[in-house]
Amino acid sequence: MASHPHAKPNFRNLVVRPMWMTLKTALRTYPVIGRWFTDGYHNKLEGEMLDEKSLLRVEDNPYNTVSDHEYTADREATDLYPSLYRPVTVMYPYERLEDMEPWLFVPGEYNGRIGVIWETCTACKLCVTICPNDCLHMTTELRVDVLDGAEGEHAGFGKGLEVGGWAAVPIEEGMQANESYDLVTAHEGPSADYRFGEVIDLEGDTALVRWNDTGYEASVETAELLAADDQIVSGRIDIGRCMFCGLCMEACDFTSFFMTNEYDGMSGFTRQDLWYDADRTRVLTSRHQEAVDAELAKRAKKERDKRARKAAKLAAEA
Amino acid sequence: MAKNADYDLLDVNGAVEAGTKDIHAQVLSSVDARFGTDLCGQSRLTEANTFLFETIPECTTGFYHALNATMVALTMCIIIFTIIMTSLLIVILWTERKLIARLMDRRGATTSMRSLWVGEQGVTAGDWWNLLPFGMGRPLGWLVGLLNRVAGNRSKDKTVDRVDNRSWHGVWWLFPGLFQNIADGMKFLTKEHMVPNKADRTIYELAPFMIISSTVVILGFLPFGSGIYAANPRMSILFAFAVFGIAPLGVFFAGWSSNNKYALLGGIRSAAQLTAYEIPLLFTVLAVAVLSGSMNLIEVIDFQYTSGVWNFFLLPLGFLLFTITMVAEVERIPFDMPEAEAELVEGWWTEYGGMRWGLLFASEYLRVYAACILMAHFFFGGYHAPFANLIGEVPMLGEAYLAIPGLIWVLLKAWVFFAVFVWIRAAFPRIRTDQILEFGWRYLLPLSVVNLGLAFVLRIYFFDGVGWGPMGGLLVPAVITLVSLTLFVILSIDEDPEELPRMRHTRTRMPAGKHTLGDD
Repeated sequence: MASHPHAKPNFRNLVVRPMWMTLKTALRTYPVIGRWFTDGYHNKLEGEMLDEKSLLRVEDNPYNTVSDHEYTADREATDLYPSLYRPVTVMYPYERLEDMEPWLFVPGEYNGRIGVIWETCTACKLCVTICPNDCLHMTTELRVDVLDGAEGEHAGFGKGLEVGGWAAVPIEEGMQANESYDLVTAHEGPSADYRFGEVIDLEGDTALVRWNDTGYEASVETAELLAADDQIVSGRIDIGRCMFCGLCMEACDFTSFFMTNEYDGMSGFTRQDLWYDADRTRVLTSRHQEAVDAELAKRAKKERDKRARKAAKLAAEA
Repeated sequence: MAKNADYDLLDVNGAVEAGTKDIHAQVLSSVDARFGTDLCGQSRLTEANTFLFETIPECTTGFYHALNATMVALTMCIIIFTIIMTSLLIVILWTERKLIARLMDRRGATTSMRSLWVGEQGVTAGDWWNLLPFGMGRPLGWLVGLLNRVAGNRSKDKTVDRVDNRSWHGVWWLFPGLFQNIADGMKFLTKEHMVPNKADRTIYELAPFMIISSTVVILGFLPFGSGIYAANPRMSILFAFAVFGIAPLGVFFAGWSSNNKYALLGGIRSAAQLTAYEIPLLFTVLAVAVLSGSMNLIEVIDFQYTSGVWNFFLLPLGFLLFTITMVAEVERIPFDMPEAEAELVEGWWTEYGGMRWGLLFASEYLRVYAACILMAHFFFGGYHAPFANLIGEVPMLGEAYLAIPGLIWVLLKAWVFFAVFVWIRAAFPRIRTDQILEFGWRYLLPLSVVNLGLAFVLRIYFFDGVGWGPMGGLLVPAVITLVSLTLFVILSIDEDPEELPRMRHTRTRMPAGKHTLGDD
């Protein structure tokens, strides 16, 4: 039977070739000599990373906090033999392994906790449709619209205050508390950052607002108020039903839906605790600022065109 | 001949003898001063006693000579044992791990011992030395900082450095992993000694002692220089190989007494294999003895010096046989069926643990080491410098070259052979028991007989009393070496053109691999 020439059990194939191959392998491990035997894979002085993300992750600069941790946990064990009996148990959830040994990071491809950029969500419900476990639910939410809160070139394209609509006032304490709020490890939602109320009447610079929390009516300067909307797209996710298949992420055509690499914070004492509302899935906008900015610009342009058309129509009628 | 054969700066035996003579004198005088008489009861408080050796009475001479010989032998045993164990624990085991890692390109966590001290990228395992009282650890902190600066890893990407093959970085002079064996030994010493419930306890306890002690005894016959040896009987080769043959018995004892099917299978395989390979081994050694005209190890070594040619160049076949049979005798890959991890858990030493296992392990490496040293002695001139006769003639350089102690040459040669053993381990797969035995009985045994015949022919027809005949004794070894080299080259390029020229991928029909043959 014909076979590969290397399959013949002769001295060359049984002795000389294996010895030569292992010798080459050993020589390759010394860069100086091994250069001559390189096969394009070994003896690269620079490490090869798979993608830009991974390269960023390991980059050595003063701002990179990902890999700039201590080699091992800097904790005391016993005073007598601190080095011999160093504790190796990671006291999760009070400590996290990747904080102490940052080279053991969770890869970005890991399907962890769901994160949504609600600012760019268009409520197309593709994710809800595809979810095999029915854990996603689309709702509306009373929130300050991104355009209403926008500053700079997109400012002023928001809906604006109108009678019968909604208004909001920022809550300083809540805003401050949310600055230290860590979505990653939090087991509860963030503090309320806006106080909402229904606009009953608009008179010049003041508006009559009935606050939702107290039910009392009050007269407030319109400069202090932000326009809000109760039809802003939002959702609830039953994380207890989620099996982290990632189909929702794949279904999303607007790159709004993500599976983060976060495994933490998805626990509670009741099943109700596992119902996440939009606050607990909101991805930090700073991580996706480009997408948010693009969406903002798109909406602002739409609004600008609408107003221009309206103005043209009015001019034509006049 | 440039120099006398027994010329060696490191005459340890001579130094020890001289030293013990002095001690001997001291002891004797103190005994005399104390008792006022010598052992014969004669009064020795005379002025003549200042020269003790001249005044030892007849009745005590034998006793003192025996005492002296014992002290010399004991001291030499300790010295030899220290040389062997130090170089074994540090160099040999380190070579085994590091070289196999490079040969197989599996250099994973090679700096695990180092990282606690040196750390990487300026980061160490926490400033634990600052927890020591009174600032005692501060110098340690400085040392660690210094090491870190000098020997820390150097990639610009930290994570890359951690994941990468880290033996590329750092510095060689820290010998990362060198003291792993000390740590291992400490671990073995702290482990419990356990005997299986239904084991044959006496034999089970006896077997490691048989193996270890017989292994250590071999070392006594290995010279590390013309004046560095523990014992030098007339028939030291015979003695060494007789002792070498005790260990297989211990192996079989261990396999039988463990009351474990894996251990028993390992023991049986070991017995069969060692018996099969001991015969060609002894024939090969006999050929060396015939060629050199002596059964004394030191005489064999000196013969290679006086005849001017290493035995390797006269008996390359013998060297090959010796290597193969020794690999089989010390149960290393590809002949490690007695402890085939894939099928028998750990072979005949499955049930041993703790320091007994550690010592069995050490004795295995001692046997390998002894094999390497014997290889250097039998075929490569032992403690004599390579090309001593040639380089010794060079005016200035020759003196300095010959002044290098023989100890260094022996160790260097043995280490090189050990590296070859490791290389063999990396290159070859383990083969089946029946293949091992067939190879031993059907090929090695006839070849070793042929080799013995060659040695007889060479000794009888070509040896002229000093060297190897014509052209300064170089013609015969040169012809033999050339013939062997030619054979090797022919065998190395042996490819069968009748075979399929090339394998192809099934779908694309593109040629597979980089191999080209003929007009392919």
